[in-house]
Amino acid sequence: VALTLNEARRRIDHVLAGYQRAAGSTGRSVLPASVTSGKTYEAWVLCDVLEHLHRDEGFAITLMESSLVRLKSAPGPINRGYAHFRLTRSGREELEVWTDIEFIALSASYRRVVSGSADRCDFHELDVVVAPAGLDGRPRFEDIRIGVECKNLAYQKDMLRGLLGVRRELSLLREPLATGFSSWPRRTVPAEPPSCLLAYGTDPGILDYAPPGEIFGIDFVYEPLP
Amino acid sequence: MDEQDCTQLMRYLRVRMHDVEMGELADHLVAELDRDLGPPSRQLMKMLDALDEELRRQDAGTGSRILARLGEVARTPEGYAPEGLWLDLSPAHRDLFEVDGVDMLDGPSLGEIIEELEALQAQVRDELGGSQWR
Repeated sequence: VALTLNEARRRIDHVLAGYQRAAGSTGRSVLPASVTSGKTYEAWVLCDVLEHLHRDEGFAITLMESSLVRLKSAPGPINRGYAHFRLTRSGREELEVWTDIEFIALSASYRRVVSGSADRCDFHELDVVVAPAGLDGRPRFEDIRIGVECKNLAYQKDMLRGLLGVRRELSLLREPLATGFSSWPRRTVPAEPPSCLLAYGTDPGILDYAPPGEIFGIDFVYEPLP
Repeated sequence: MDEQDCTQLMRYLRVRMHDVEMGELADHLVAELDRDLGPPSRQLMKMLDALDEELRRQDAGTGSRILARLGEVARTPEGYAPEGLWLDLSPAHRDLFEVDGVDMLDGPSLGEIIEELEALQAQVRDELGGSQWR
């Protein structure tokens, strides 16, 4: 049976009425979508990052400082009392995974800016960060082993521009250097220092923006929510 | 359904999303559509896809799946799987909403209506000529 406009409207009404009934009484309803938006997706991407580091790179993963996985509604420096993941593997540098972390940019470092005196232009946020264990405050650009950006919106060109800016503030374009990882996210990257930068998105259109990343060492991953 | 119907359905969807306090998302989508030169049918599919994504984001089942995935690879120092998924609010948000954070597993159960929406998306795609929309 062909779908008519009225039938489509009726089914949209049914879906949205069902949503309204179900959503009204939950704890999350005290917050507007703008606060929680993206956090579920960030957690989903965090799963993917930890799975790769465990299965492809052989790290043991320990949740530190909490029995809960905790995300933050706003980015900031590393706070050692806050929940994070520790990555350990025999013979390898010990690493940690943090969410919503601001790093001191390469340009700020050239101007000798330190974390405590940094202005807004001197640091940038990454949704997930892998960095050496034991850091405190805002990590410097050369501390970032892996940085991840998560977008659960239709991928747009300005997101690519922002990502290229983050790449520039993490490293300089160079002949490929070893990342320290054997296969994931990648073995080498055309960047110095050799940080890995990944962009995850729920929009399949994110892959349309991948070609510049092949030059600058940015990996684009289409990863929808389940 | 034709392209004119798609335009009307987009308008309807936007108004109805406002009715159920999803207006912020609806307006964001409409603003993004300005940059999209595709026909109304493609724009409608983008709106339905975004609604689908939003429902999945809020669905309690998604939070449970995330926690289960984390538990497969991560343990506390005592050897236990993570017990929950929590969003801590910034000081400004705490003052504004008078809560310290929210339990990310405390979402609505939206599995049935996600299935309904999926069926509608599939039928609209079929009506409009196939699978080129994703």
